Amino acid sequence: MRDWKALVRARVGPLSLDGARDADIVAELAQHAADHFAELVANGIDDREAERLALAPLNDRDRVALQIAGADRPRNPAPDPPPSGGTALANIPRDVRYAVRLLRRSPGFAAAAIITLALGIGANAAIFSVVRAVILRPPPYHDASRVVAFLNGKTGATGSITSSSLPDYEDWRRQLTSFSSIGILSGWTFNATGLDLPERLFGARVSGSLFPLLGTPALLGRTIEPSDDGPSGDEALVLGYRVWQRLFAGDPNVIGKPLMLEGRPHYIIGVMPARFRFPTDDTEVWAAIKNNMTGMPRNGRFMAAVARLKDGVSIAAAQTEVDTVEAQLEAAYPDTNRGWRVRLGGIHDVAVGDAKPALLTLVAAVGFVLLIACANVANLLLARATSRSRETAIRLALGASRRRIVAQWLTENLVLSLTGGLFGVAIAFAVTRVIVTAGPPGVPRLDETDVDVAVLAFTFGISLVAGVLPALLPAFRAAKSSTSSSLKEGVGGSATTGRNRAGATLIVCEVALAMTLAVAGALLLKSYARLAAVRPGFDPAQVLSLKVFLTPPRYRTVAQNKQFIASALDRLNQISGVESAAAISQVPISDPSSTQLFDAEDKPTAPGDRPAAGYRAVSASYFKTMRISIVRGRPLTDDDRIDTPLVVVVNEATAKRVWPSENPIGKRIKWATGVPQFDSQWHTVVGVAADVKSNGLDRPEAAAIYAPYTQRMFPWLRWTGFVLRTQSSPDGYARIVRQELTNIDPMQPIYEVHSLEHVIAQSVSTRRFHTGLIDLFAALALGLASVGVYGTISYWVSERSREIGVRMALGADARSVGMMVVGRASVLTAAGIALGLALSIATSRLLTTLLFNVQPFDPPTVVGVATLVSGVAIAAAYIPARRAARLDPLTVIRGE
Amino acid sequence: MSDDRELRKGSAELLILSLLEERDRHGYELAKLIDRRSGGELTFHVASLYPILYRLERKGLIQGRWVEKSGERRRRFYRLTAHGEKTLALQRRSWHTFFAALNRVARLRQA
Repeated sequence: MRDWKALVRARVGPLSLDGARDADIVAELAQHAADHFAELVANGIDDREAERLALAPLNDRDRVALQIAGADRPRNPAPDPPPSGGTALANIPRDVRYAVRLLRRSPGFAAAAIITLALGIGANAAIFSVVRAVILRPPPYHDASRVVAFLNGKTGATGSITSSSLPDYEDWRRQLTSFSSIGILSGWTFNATGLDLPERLFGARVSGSLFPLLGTPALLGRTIEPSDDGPSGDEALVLGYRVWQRLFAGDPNVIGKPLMLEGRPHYIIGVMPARFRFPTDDTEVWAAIKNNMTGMPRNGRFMAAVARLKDGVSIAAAQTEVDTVEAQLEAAYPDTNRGWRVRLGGIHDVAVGDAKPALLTLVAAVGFVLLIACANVANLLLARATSRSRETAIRLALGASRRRIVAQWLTENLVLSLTGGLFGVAIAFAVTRVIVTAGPPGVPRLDETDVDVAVLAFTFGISLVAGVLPALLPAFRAAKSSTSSSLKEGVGGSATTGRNRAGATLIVCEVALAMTLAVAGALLLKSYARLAAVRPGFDPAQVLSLKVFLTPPRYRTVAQNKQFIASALDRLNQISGVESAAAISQVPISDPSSTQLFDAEDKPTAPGDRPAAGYRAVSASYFKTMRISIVRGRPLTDDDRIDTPLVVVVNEATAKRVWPSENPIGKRIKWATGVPQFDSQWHTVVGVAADVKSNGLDRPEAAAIYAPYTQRMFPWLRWTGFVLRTQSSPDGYARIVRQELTNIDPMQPIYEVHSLEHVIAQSVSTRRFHTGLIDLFAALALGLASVGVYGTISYWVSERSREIGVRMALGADARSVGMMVVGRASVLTAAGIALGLALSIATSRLLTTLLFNVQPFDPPTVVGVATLVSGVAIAAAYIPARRAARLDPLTVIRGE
Repeated sequence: MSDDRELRKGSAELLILSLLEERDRHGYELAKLIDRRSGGELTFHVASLYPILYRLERKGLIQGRWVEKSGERRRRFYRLTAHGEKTLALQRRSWHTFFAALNRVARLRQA
């Protein structure tokens, strides 16, 4: 039994805009065809022929549709539209079904559009999920917008959160009235013992006010309260989520248990939720300050102060009060406070800090990729629109309003973009996994990156945008096209010219965006290459570094501390394969510098203007081990002992700062710590060491002074690093080094055992990460743009095939035809490159903070990228050019 | 060609209205009757007949409705409306006048 309705439906397409009426007509035509068929069969005609004859009149679908529509419309007066766009909504399911049917019929087009959109949307969703984790999601503090950080710094310099001192804090607490509460903390390294292995935990000692101020409830137990911060009583300890998992396997009965830190029991009172990481991501435990920091000098600026604004007090008003108090402190303590100022910053902004410009660049980059993807899809749609102009005309003739036509187009494209969005989410899932596992350690909360509801909502949103944006141009062009002209067979002149112009504009924009992104990518790549090529001033190859943190009770005195270092050097030097081992209080690049004020004997300064230098306690073997050259005088030697004259080696930066035109050898300095017993003795400069990139490859070396560790007097600087030059791969020595040090003191944790090359690589990992991502997106943009160029030029060639045929018939050879096509592509590409250049100059400001030793406008880079972009574009145009050159003129001219 | 088509279209309306004057009929029956009664000179197929029916229906000259008879498939029957009857009378008169004129000029026999 034949399904006549289906047979008819397959031939006629849409007949009426009224669904019921449409079905009615099909049913009636089907009935007619069935009757006809029955009669033909009754007359002895075989079934297949009868079916063919019965349906033959319907084969000219456009005409049938037009005639029926012309006769049937308007049938009944249109029913009143439901009040609020109900008709449009009612049309959606039908439009969607129709769209899906149409797209299934052109799988090549659909796949191209969906893949393009999926890439664009996926990249955006992934970067959005990073931005959300790092920037948008507020930290888990109660009303985080009211919490401010004290950014302390010398006038003119950017303040940092870890530059406050305990005495300043006490004064702030007494005098400032803008805040309901002020708290302070100090980063603290705890040596934990009593576990399977001694372990170094990084955490903080906090004032009793800090946790109540932040207001994050504990996951288990409670947080540190003011009563825990008294001078007497047990040490209370709050665990971070990760250390709770790592050391206690998430045991809920951990509350009340002691953990041996610094040889004393610290009683666990609470566990914080995973998202609480104050002040930095790597903070694992919190204890109260108690009396652990008594006697800290006013210029011991390494603590972080935060405060909660009182209700109704603005950050600006609080800043005014802070300025007043700071001026008073400066007047009262000129020695230590001259020139120091505090700027208040929102706690979240401060935490996000450096990550922001890089992330915004990434956002811009993926935005560009999406725009290019949209332009590509718009181009595809334009090409399709031209081939569908007859269909559109029929629909218009059928009485479709232009609005309905546009709505249908939009629906079609939304089906594409939402499908693309689905794949995009899959891409985002994969990309965020990679970002979380391979991401650099420097980006705060990067590991919280997740494709969650907000990301899905965002993806849905941009999918809608990506659905509407590319469809607008072709949709309105389609709706504008005149019915009669499009129905005429040889779709000629004006429509295609317009389509070509629109396509050309899109291509110019695509190339411009790709060019901008490629310039940014190239600049970052160049920056990275320059950074990687920076010579650190020491030879990092085959050097292993490691750290110990020597704390009470076993290392209460400086002498005990030195004793450990001496024994360690002794043992490390005896390991076979170790060329030399040395101790240093600041492992280059990896450790922060410990800055100390000093006075030069022959250059007296006013109190406030004293020079400062990084203080580095080293063993005599340090310069040899690191291969740091001594440019003047002598290095330190094993003969510089506690009982010999005090000596120091200064670096070139110090020499330049203090004795710019003199020989520093023989000059004398003394420390200005504010503690009389350390400040009374003169040290003689015996040598000048070459500068090294101690604070990072991208930072100039600051003034630094090397002193023999044997002559060190300060009780602070409990941390010590060791460096070993080895004869083979340094990582192979990690185990034996640990073992040797454990033999000296089985209770002493050893941490950060890494080759110096690894340390350097880590220090540039954030840049490498951003550069890698931007370059990935730039490559994606370039790829998409080249697809766009290919598509547009191919279409241009197919539109012009007759002209090309005529030219060839008139004697043009294949070469000149190819050149004509490539020429067309070159013109568009050149326009795009020019526009892209303007765009990259306009956006270069975004990049400035990310660049190293490269100007945002770098002519060689621009020229290189322009060459690359035009090369890619012309390569993309080459395929259609070759096709054009191979056209057979006769076939083409006769063909249409 | 196109003149022929116009003529046919015009005449087709008259034919259909006349056939429906006798009784209600469905589309296929109309096509068969026109074919038979014109001796095969006038033929309507599915794609040419229905636009005419729909136009007549739109003008309110005929009215279609689905009728289900036992043992047969559902068919759409058309009947002449009152307005259709008047129009048919008018058309008959004008065709009559037209043919008379043609006959006088071109010595055609009235069909």
